[in-house]
Amino acid sequence: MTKVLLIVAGVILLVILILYNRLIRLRNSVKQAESGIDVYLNQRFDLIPNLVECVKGYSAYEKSTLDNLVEQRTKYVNNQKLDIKEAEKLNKNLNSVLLVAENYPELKASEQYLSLQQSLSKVENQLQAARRIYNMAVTSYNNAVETIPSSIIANLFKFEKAELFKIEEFKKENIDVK
Amino acid sequence: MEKDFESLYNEINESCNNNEELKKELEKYRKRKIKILFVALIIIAILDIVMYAKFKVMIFGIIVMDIILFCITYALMNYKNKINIMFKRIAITKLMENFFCDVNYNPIEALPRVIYDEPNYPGYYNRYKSDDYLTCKLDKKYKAEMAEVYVADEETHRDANGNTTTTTKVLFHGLFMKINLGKSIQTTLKIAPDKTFFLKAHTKLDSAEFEKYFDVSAENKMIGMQILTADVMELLVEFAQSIKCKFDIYIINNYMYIRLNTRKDMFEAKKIGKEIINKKELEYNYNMLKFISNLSKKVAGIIDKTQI
Repeated sequence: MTKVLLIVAGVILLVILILYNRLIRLRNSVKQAESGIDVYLNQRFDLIPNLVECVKGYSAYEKSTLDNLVEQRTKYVNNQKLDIKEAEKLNKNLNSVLLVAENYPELKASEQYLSLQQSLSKVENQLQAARRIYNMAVTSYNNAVETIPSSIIANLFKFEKAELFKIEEFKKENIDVK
Repeated sequence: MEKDFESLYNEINESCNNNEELKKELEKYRKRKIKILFVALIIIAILDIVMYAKFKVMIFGIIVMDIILFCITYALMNYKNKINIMFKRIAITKLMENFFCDVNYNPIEALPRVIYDEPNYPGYYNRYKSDDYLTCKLDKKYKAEMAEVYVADEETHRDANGNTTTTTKVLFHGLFMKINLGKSIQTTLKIAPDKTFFLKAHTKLDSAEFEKYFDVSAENKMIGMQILTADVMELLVEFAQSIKCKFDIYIINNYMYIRLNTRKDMFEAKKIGKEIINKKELEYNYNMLKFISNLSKKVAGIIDKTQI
């Protein structure tokens, strides 16, 4: 009888271990994907100083607005963690400056601006891919957290659901730089 | 500009009808068929009489022998190697020139095995056959090579009584194409029919519809995702739905390899009757070439546009 109990306890422990490890792996995949998005967002925002230089020379756009943008970007980059809300704000301001640039044909034709366009387009492409990888990782992780029996382990060890990267709002702000 | 099948068929028919050499060869072929049939019937009749009268073989045995002899006769009658090659040089060349540029087609040349082995397809094979090799340009810019390829795994088993049986597992039979993209994706991306890759090699994607038809294996998941956008996945699903054969696309650095598994002989002059060209067969070949041409152009264009 004791032997049977020990075997049953052993099996239960093994199952708990397997489920726990799976949750850890999935959570790490989410973190890895998150860092991917962070990398590309930073790359996108690294283009801000270039953009500001471009626009300053061609438009009478408010100097203070451009300086604010640079400051916002520095603050974002210095923050070690991915902050989606801050990224959204910064992206919105970046796009409004890009919109201004659209009204200046000379600026649009300049070499510096054309090179910026290419870089932006490339990063956008990479960001889309990173976002998809992140959302897939989050979906797998959330499924594990919410479905039985791994949800029992998730509640026990306080695994929390992750948030999807809401591209719809983000995408609305993206300007097609042509 | 690509022509539709009807105009191309009329052109090919006219070329064949105006080709005196082909007409002579066809006439020789038809006369030969009649001769072979006549001679075979006489031989079979004599053998039947001898078997029954002299050796007292049972009727059943004679019927079996007759069937075997008829099969041999049929094969001999339909042996049309020379006509086949002439048909390919006239008709198939025109078909290929409709979809590709700078076509250099040889109906009897094989694709070098080493090229077929480059993408490292799964599955062991020990039998390799190829013909209808051509080099061409796709969309006037991408250099390409294509051929009909047959690969199989043949195993011979010997049982306790010493009887041998050979089992043949066909791994691939159809069109194989290698395209030089010019631009390298700097990684390997494999798109194959569903359930090709084991769990570890399988890259999950965010389209359930796409996953029903294809398995993807991407060495670099980021680049895989950049190429396989929602639009591209939808396009590939449309291609898969438009054709009964399975196909796979392997992109390795700057080369793309496409296989279209038709599971039948391609470009052969079959069932030559009163008409020189069998319209149904020609239309099948036309559709297969159109499919592989459209698929390769679209995917090559997508790779070109993707900023990696």
